[in-house]
Amino acid sequence: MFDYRVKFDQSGKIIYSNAPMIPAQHDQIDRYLPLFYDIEALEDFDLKALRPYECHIGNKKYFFHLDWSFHEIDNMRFYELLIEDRTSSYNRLQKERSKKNTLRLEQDYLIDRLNTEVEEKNEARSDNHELKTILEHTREGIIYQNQMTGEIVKANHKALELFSCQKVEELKSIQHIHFNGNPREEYDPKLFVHLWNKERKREAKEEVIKLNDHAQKEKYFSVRVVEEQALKLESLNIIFVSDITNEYQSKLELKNKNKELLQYIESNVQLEQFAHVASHDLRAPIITIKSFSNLLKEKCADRLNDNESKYLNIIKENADQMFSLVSDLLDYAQINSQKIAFKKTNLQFLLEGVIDSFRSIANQTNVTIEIVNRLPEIVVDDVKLKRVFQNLLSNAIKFADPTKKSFVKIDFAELDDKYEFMICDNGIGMKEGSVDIFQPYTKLNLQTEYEGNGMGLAICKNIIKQHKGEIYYKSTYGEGSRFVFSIPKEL
Amino acid sequence: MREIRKKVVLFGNVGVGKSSISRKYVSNEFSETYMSSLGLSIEKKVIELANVSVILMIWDLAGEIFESTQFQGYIKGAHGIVGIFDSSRPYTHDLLSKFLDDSIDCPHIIVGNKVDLITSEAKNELKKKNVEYFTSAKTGEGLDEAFRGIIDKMISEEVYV
Repeated sequence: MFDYRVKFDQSGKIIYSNAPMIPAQHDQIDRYLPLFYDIEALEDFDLKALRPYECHIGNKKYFFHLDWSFHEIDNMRFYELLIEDRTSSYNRLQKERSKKNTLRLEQDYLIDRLNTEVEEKNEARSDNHELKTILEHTREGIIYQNQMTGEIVKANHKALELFSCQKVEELKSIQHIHFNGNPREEYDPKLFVHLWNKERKREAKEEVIKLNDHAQKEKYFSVRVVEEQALKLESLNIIFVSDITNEYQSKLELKNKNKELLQYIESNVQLEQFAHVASHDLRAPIITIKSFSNLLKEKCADRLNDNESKYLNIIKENADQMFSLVSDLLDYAQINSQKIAFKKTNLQFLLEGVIDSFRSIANQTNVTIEIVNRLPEIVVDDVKLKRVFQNLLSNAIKFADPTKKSFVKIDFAELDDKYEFMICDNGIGMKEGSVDIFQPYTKLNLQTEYEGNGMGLAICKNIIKQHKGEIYYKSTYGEGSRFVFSIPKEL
Repeated sequence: MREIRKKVVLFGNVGVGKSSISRKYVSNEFSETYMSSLGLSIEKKVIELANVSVILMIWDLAGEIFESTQFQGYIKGAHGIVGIFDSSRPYTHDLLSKFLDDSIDCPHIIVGNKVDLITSEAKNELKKKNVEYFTSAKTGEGLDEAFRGIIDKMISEEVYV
């Protein structure tokens, strides 16, 4: 049954062989049959179970059935290997098995591919369903456009609604004008066609278009084309559209109003600059008129008749009034032109200083001035705030009622986010009316009754405004007035 | 220089490329024609390391043996196991991985062969399954690294023991 016998010792050295493929005697057995690289370890192996044993000897491949036995002589072990050469039959079997296995592998591969495809299709179906739901329920209009022709292929319900269309065909007839930047001649005015041209192909830039919808209503739309590769749709562009007509018109309106406001601000600044320059430059000639009319009165008083003296007095009085008017105007203009300088100020000391300067006139007019609660130390522009107290105190004293015992009371209150200051008097008060007494040159009384040009409160309002505060008043005719101004804690 | 012999058994499903890996690694030969292994084939390769010469006896088992009851007989005395699967057929990994976890207690590595047939994304997916070595018997890619990997494991096991 076995074709060949090979004998070798325990070191693997071949002693005998009648196998033509293992011709060398005294050579190592594992050179031909690597299985025997560790003979000792192999002793437990049943070589009959290792079938077939495939080995390459020279350039040829062999399939063997092996069996072996051993015997000992003088403590030396000798092995007899029996070889059955089954190369030809196993070559046939190998070919058949390879063919079978190849088919099996191909079958496995096909099943695997089929399973993958089924999974992918299921996923795609699920994705498609989700996408369809999203597209139909989104508040954005979505339009599909053929990349090659620019033709609108389909649109979601919202897109049709936005353009007042019933069918996709109606969308195709809508014309628009390019609205962001300069119109470009190469644009086809058909809806969105320009958006797929080569230079824009890979952009997802948003732009605004203006058009008359299918119902001929003028609308503005925000349009965004999504890069086709991002959605892995090779032949379609996806255009997202939103109606921004109201938003756009509001934006436009706001833009116009801002422009108008800027013009007002500019003209106001110019006017203030003019008032400052004019009042400043007018003071010099008025002073000259005042000086020379005084000089004329002193030097020529005895030479003027009654009428001439009267005329000279009129010139002098009007020059004085004009000087006062121009000075107040200059003050008012200066309030706005001067930079505000905030610093921590003890208002109690500041107010006491102001009251001291009014002490004499207050005594003359029999007016008592009282600080009810001690004023705090806060951050203000001390020079300007002093002016506010001066103007309000001056008014309170000026408009004191001579028929009763007059008083002026100054008080303050600390609120959460601001300080409030009150100047109250029991003077003549004011009649209710539509006149805004905080406007420049606003007077409620005749010039002859009370001196002043009506600039004091206007100056107060400007200063309080610069402090980001508010000023208002309450007054009852015949009973007195109460002026309140506030200064925020955080300036 | 010290000489050590190590029996390394290659195993895996039919058609994953065990014989191709063995032939390419030992003899630098590769054939496009698929020939199914029938039983056992043994190749010898000597690897010289810094202080040791490793004689690697690579036992290449037919895929059918892997599925048979005789398998334990073949891996008896093995110092290391190289489990091979076909990267282009991921299910061959799942079978192998389960078998290694359940039945093998000697040093072993898992090798994804036919890496030249898969994409880098698929390779990354397999890396997530703790596949450390990727080879291509066709191009020879990764073979030295994989066998060096099992040698290192076997040697470190020997030192430890």
